[in-house]
Amino acid sequence: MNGRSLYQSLPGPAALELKNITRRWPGGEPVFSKLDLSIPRGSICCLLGPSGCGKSTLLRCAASLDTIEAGETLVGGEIVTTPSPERQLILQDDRQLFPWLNISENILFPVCRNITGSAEGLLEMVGLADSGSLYPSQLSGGMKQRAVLARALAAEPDILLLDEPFGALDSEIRKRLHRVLLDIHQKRKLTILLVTHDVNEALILADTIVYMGSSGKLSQPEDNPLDDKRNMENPQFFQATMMIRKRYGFLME
Amino acid sequence: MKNSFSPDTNPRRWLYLVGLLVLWELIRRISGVNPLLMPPLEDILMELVHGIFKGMLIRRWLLSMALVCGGLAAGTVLAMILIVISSTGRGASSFLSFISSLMHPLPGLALLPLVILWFGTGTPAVLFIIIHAVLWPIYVNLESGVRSLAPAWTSYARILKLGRWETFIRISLPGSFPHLISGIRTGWARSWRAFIAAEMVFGAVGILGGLGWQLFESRVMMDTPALYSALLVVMLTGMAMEEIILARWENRVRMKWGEPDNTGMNTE
Repeated sequence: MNGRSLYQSLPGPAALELKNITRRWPGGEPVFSKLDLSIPRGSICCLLGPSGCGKSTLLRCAASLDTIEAGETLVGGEIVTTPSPERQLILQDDRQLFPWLNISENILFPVCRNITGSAEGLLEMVGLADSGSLYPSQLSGGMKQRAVLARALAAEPDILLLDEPFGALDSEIRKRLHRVLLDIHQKRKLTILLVTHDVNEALILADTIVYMGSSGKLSQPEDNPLDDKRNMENPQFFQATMMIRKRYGFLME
Repeated sequence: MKNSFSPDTNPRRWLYLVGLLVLWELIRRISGVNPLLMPPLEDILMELVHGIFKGMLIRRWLLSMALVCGGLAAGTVLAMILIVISSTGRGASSFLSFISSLMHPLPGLALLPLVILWFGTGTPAVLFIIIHAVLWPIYVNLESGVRSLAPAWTSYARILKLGRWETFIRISLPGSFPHLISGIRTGWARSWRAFIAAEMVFGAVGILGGLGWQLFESRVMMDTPALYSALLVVMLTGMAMEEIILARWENRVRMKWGEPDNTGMNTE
């Protein structure tokens, strides 16, 4: 593999570890069972897989929002059973922001019990410097997702759990938000678990890629085959996309 | 999305009203019906103008509005208190849900015999009927609003480790605001009808009496122009409050909340 291997570059306890976890549907059928996933601190792991395979459920388990029937979730080596602000979840959902608050108030929502700073720095970081006084209903889908990202950052998380956050956006806005996310990742040294079914997105963002099959089984994590220059015009990019599609034998997008 | 049960708020409806009044006058003249039963439009309008500028009508209208709006405010506060109680646990929620299922379909007028026993026939009795008419639709709507909050909001409350009370105050209550306004709209329509009917049964509220009393008094005195002018005021007030104030308010809030329009305001 030519890509960076963050497993080797960052030793120590994994930022997020799912050990032997099982989650069942209400009828008793397993969504997935005895599943293991380990994400090193400061890395971006993309979880690829077809719709309905259980990726989002896995993410909710990682956030401790869904109860697991067996196994354990570890954050920084410690077992966790309840959600916490250190693990922020961002969804594809259009209604994540609170419509009765403006964007600045939304962003400061996690800290407004003891306001320690203003929203300006965060708004600037996500490219919404002039939009703090607007309400969510006045924003486009891309702007809303930036605001959600800024709100998540306001809680100063260690881990971002992203469930197809750019899935409903057009490709230009998606590209811009990829850059925003990579910048933030670099500045804040966050650990990110991103669920997507878009191979291109995974290749642009991921340090490691994991594939979840329709039976809920996870592949071994593998390093991103591309080097740091991950633009889609690069001929290597197309080859890597085809390689991943071929390897996992599924059609995505 | 158009709800087929939502009111049509097309401004042309005010023209329809003018058309109906003209039709009234035409029918009256052609049929030659007794003017006591169908007074001339001119007499009704003169009575209306006189009642507004010199007579009792405006004062009675103000008293009616004050009582209904007071009852509406009291009912809203009570509904919010009940929602707070219902959010304290599954038992409280289930019990209040049961009580609201019992009380919501019960017409206020069906309670009249009991209300007379409890409060007599004065203002407290009428206020009781108004609050009963308002409380349950607002409670049922608020309950539905709290239950149908965006899942992303409730998940976010859990991620931030907000307590039950903080989640209620910071997320559930503001999040269900469009439902609260829907409840107020229904409550307004019910309370306005209940007030007019109750006053006609209980008699004047206070020394002056409200619009219900005006209707009753006009009938007893066989003053049909005054009777029709009071009826016109009752209808116009109900329509104006519903279409000019409440439906527009609900529409604005629903748009801001990103919810589908339920008011019929955006339909052609």
